[in-house]
Amino acid sequence: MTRCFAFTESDWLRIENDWRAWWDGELERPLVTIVTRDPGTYPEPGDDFLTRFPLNQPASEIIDYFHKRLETVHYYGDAYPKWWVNFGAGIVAAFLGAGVEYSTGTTWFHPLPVDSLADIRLAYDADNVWWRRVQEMTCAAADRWAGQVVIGYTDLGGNMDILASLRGTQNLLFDCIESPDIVSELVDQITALWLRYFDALEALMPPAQHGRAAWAPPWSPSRGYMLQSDFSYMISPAMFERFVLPDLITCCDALDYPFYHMDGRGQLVHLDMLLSIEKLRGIQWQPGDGQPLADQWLGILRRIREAGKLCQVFVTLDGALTITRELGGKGFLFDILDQGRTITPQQVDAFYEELNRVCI
Amino acid sequence: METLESIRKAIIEGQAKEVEQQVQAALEDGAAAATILHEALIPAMEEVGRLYEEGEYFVPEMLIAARAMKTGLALLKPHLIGSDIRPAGKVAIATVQGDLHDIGKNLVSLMLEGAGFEIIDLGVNAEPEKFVEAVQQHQVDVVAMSALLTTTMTRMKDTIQALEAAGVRQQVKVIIGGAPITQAFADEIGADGYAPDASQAVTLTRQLLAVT
Repeated sequence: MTRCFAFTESDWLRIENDWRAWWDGELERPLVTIVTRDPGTYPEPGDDFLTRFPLNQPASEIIDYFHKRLETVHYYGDAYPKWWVNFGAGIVAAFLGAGVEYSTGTTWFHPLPVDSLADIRLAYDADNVWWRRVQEMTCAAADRWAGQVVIGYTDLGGNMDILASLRGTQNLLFDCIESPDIVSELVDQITALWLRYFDALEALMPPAQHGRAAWAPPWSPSRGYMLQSDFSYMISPAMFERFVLPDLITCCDALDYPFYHMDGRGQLVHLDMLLSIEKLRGIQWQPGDGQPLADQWLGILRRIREAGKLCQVFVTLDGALTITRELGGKGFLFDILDQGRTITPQQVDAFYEELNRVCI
Repeated sequence: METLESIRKAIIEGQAKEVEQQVQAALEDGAAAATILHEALIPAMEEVGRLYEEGEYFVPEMLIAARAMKTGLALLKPHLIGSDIRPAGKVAIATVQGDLHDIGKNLVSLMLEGAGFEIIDLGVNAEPEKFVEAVQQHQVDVVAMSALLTTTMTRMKDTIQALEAAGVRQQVKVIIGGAPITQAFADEIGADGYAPDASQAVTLTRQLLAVT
């Protein structure tokens, strides 16, 4: 176990070597990330959201707050110190004019006041208050923690998800049937803007930083991102192929280490298409709240691995062992859930002892 | 009757204008509103539910069909009010306090309406008191709650407790749904039922109210 600011160059070298080997398919064991905290320091839901801080609060004050929080974190195994710029999922919608509201532990986006899809005009706005704030927080974090903590890109969102925030989800569902050409056109525009925002954030990453990360667990040596399209939960494979797939391919082409966040059973109908994206490196399978955890979906995990993709899941310590026993651990990234906040160093030691035995 | 079949087909295909024209034509031809409702609109939405459950329809297709159904229903309503036709039941529905997601709630609402239930839509972010008020004011038969977040699903229990505290819990059936919801959670908080999707919410409501 290593504490956040006790990470040494040797620790970083280990992280870089093992993760690179994992990405290259040369690591025979799974990667396992376990993050715990000092007792009594676990945050409340929503604590990480930067939308809850007033926009005029100095960024350095906010970084001070999170610095104290990071001091309480312990990293085991392949986990690494990270802080990501959390303004909520799909903040690009706010960059493009959607209203932002923080309440009940999450960020909500309010649609543009337009009557029809055709009225939506998308343009890069360098002076957008949220875009400026995201850059400000990224820079402030980089100034404070360069080389010590990986500064994760903000959660830009999925292209259709961003459009859903701008248009209203239900309206967009109708639009997919009634105005498909305009949907396609707007999604293409959003993709171009998404890449512009991504490149701008990439340029803010400090040279001393060890690799890249975002909200999701994967670390990557360079431009990596967890792509997503939660809207796809509701649409047919035909619509996915038309509205989502082309833009995922474009984003994959522009990244070095693209991953896809497949959230919920409703997205399983798109799995074959996702697996067909050559440059997509892996799939994060998230069965969704209320569903059995990922170790109960071995058939899905097997399909992902047999298609040659890496696979990341959120599981318990026992779940990680189950998957490793059943499918082998190679190519998996297990991010360990500690919902009961009860994982002890002794349990971690016992887990690794068993994992090593299973992996041999 | 050929027109009824055309209405049914137009609803399934989500052709709102076609539904409007055909329902108007059927009424002008002397068809009873109740016949159009029971032999075209309700069967059409049952078929839409079946197509959804079988994975042939997805949410957009279901929504657009439901919207077409509502167009037809709006034309029938003035005729139904004057007749003896009563709704299959009255449902107060909302997304619970703290949660602004509305697609699931809207779908359930539309499917129930398509099945002949009267809907009192309380919107999103509905406080427990809002449900209590609806039960007291509208004499509803069913309270339907939706939540998409694990952080907001706990408000369902609060709402049931508020119904109990107001002394109206026994007057209504409580059903719940939403991505994080399970039957176990429904049992735990004392709901009368849980449905995993909009189509099954209709089946559940019918069962609870013993509507055939």
